[in-house]
Amino acid sequence: MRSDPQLVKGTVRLLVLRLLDQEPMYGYQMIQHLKDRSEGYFRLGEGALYPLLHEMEEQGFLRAEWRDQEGRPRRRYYHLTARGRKELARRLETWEDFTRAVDLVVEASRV
Amino acid sequence: MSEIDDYLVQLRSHLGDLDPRRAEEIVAEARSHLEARAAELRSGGMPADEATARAVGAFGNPQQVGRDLLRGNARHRHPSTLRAVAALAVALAHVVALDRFMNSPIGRDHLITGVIMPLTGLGWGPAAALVEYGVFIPVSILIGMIGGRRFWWIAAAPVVIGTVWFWATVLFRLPPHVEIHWGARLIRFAVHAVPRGALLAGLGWLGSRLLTRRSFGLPIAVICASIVAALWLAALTAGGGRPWDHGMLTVFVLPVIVLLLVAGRRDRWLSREGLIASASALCAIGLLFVIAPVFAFSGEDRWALRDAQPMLTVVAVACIAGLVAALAYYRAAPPSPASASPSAPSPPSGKGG
Repeated sequence: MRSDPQLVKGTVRLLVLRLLDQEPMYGYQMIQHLKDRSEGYFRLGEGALYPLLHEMEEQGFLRAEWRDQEGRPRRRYYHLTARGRKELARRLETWEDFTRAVDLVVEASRV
Repeated sequence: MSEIDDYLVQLRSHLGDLDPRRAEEIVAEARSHLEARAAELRSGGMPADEATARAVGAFGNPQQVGRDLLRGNARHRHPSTLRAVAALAVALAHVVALDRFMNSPIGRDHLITGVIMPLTGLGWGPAAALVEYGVFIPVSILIGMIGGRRFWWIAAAPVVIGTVWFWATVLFRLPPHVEIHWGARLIRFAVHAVPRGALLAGLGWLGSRLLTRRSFGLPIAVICASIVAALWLAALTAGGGRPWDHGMLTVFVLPVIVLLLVAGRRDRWLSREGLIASASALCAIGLLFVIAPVFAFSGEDRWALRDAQPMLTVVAVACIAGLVAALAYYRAAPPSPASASPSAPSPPSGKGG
């Protein structure tokens, strides 16, 4: 699968919110999950994820906490906040409208 | 030093504008990521050195990553604009203060007369000595030491400017018939300007630290405005007020505060609502300062207000304009997220990711 960096960039916030809606995760874990679940389509720049997470944390969508790991370095886990859930719902709705509109145009062109 | 350590040192060097604690936290998070990634690569059979090099390479150029991290952590930044404005505010306050023969318009005398003396019940002499030697100087030195570690130049700026101003006043501006011994002036400078400089620098530093936390921005702005208002009104009503000085200070300091608020909005440590509320409160207080002397003074003092009339008029017009602008900004509310264009996809972040 070929990925379009601009499309990836535009949807990464939605994807991060969706991932964290399921369980708290640390940055590296998010990158792995995105890559695995998308069958390699979403390959985020590793250093680029953290500025995004921090910005979303500042906006109140995420909350972070350090967790000690037995025998391993501690990790910073991100949780979705109530505000983050509202943002996720808003972005999902927008995304569904967008994909439906794109489908309508693309399918009509094929006929 | 391992390659990861080397990379993190480089990354840390690009986070100099951040609160040090936040910068350390970011570095720790990056370390955790890099170590996890290198361990994963090693477990796949890659030699340790190569695994580390690949993990570091995948994280990105430290300068670019650092720049993105600064953007993503705006609340924890000490923006250079803010620091510059804080230094300017302190310097201007001192220029005004020193121009009045080192008697600050809101000086110790006014503070003690208006606020502290009624509270402590002490007479003029003991109260002044107690406050100056027991509180002001130790607190000034302490705050100056704490603030000086990172913001030493904020403390240094007013002292340097004050020194230059002092010598310029002594050498070039004194009329020949005014005879004040240079030694006496120098001692007054050392006793008054340096501790006050340190105190102001410390307060500037403390304010910049607190204001960079967006959630504290509004309450801190309100508290600061209330303190300034209380001091100003105390000075005005305690008989030590000089309207011309207050007008001068307002004209010098008001643009600086406005710049501070604008810088805060631009650097995102002040919310839109915080900016509107702070600007409105500031303008309302400014108007109060114009109106208060009319009621606070009587007889000859009130007559002296005539001298300050042009200055007070300028301040009044500026405050009314500020209130109108704040109201216009409030009414020009941006569209809420719910009313945003439904056909648009999630907007590109523009900040990595």
